[in-house]
Amino acid sequence: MVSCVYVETEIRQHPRTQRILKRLNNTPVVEIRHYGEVFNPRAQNFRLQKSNPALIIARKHKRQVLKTPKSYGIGGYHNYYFSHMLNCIYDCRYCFLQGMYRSAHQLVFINYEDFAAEISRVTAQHDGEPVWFFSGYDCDSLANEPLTRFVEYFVPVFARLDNSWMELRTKSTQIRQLLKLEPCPRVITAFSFTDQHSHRKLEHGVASIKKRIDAMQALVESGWPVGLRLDPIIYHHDYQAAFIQLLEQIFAVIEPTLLHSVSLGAFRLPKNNFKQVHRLFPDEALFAQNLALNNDIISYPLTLEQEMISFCEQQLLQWIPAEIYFPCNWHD
Amino acid sequence: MLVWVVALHCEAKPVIDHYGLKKSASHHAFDVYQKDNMHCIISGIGKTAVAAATAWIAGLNRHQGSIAWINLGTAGSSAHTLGTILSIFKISDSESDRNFYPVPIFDSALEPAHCLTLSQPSTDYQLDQIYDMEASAFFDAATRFSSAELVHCLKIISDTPAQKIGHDKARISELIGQHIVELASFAQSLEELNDQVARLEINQSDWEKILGCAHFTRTQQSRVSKSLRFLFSQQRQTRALIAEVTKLQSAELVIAHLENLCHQQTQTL
Ligand code: SF4
Repeated sequence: MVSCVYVETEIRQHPRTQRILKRLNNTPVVEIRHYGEVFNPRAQNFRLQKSNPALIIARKHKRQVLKTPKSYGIGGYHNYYFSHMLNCIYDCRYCFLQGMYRSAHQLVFINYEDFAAEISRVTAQHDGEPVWFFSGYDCDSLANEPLTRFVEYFVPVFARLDNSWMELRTKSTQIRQLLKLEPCPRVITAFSFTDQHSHRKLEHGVASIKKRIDAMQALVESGWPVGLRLDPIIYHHDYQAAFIQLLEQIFAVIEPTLLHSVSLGAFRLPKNNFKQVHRLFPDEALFAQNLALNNDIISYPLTLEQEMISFCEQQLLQWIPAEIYFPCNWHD
Repeated sequence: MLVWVVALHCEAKPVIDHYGLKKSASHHAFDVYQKDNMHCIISGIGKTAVAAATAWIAGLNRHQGSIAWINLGTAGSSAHTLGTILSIFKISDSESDRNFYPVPIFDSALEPAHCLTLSQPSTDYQLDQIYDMEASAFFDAATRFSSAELVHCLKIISDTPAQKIGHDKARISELIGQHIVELASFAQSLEELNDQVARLEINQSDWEKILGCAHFTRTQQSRVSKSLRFLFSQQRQTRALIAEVTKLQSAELVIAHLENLCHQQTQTL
């Protein structure tokens, strides 16, 4: 549920807007000129807003597709991201979106056709080489599917483009729409997990680990490629045992050789995002941990981070073949 | 703390009576009524007056951890009946053409409305807007001191094409007074929200005690503040912690001690 819906006047009559408004039919609607009027003002408190965010329906006029940061990817050479949504219905305390935007309102861009045209254009630029498009950079790709119908529109777009791959990154169990569609080998649904202790403390509103594993298995059984993202690894007194337990829980259900890809990375936030988030959540233990600045990124002190990553890698590689493992090398 | 900003005394009277606010003898620029953590300031009519009053009282309370604001007043409308109470979701300023959006953060039963703030009185009402003379300037001024979630405007319809209350003070008080339960409930939710923010701040006198025990650079102050804000939030005995820290004789020792306590405390997340 959202507290209110802000709609850009220009797209008030757009069929996708109308359908969303119909779904939220008792929610107050406020017309705005441009989403920036609501999303960008300085005097906003992300933490307070997150307790009852609004929905903003807008049009993204340009820069629909952007290059990913250097370390972002799973083995591909040409990596892009596109965001039909900014912000998320979940509330993970380590999420970089908290320090990225001033507003916690969920912003949906409904001009999917413009995104699709840009994706086709970028794909064509690469002369048949594989191109990766990541859709869960600024949001959870699937969590809002009943409202956005993102998958319903974009999976067929990628099914038509021979050399394009899309990663759907999610912590949700919203797979119903995917199950209705013909599996596309170039659309990877990547599920993120942290261990049970970190999940309970830090991932507010996120479905249980078991439910997410079940959703993953349902996709595997239907022929969809799935990925596993063990990111972020969070330090706590018992992280090693908790990580082993998480792997056992996942691989008791999921056949490791059927995974498309697996990635792993320690908790990290860009320095400026960290500053913002820490200011908002001074009471959060995660941010009062022993952390260090390295290459403009705040993460664990190097020796601790290396110890954590090498322990987790060692455990992980007992389950999966090395060819599908892609560490998050943010130090490079 | 919560501040009511109201143009006229007759509009403020129901709030003053309900909370038993007392007129402050020490303030002369504006009439201020107060009790405990609540203030009500009478700004006068119009944008300049309300902006001045808002900035003035914010300055007076600059040591408060966080301030929540309600602009209470009357408005004109051609779509609502006399006495309707409305919560403003959008404010437009007729002069500057700027829009402002108070954030509807907690569930309130009050009907939402779009308010157009005019510089001159007018009765040329559009159906989808209500009309006042302060909201835009109030919101613009208050959001310089508090985040938008803590700044709200509540308006009661006093003028419609069919009925005009005009300057009938008693009738204005009556129209507003009939909504005192809703107003008080809204104010309570807002105060609770504000407490969430204020709780995270370090009390000024505690902060001064800590800073008094050694010389801290700006960066060191920021590290101390982060550690303290975390430790205070973990139900640590504030007094005992301050006593521990003020025994230490250098900024480095204070920081090391506090950060060590934080690291110990965060082993289990
Ligand atoms: S699910 Fe992902 S995008 Fe959503 S809050 Fe958690 S980390 Fe952020």
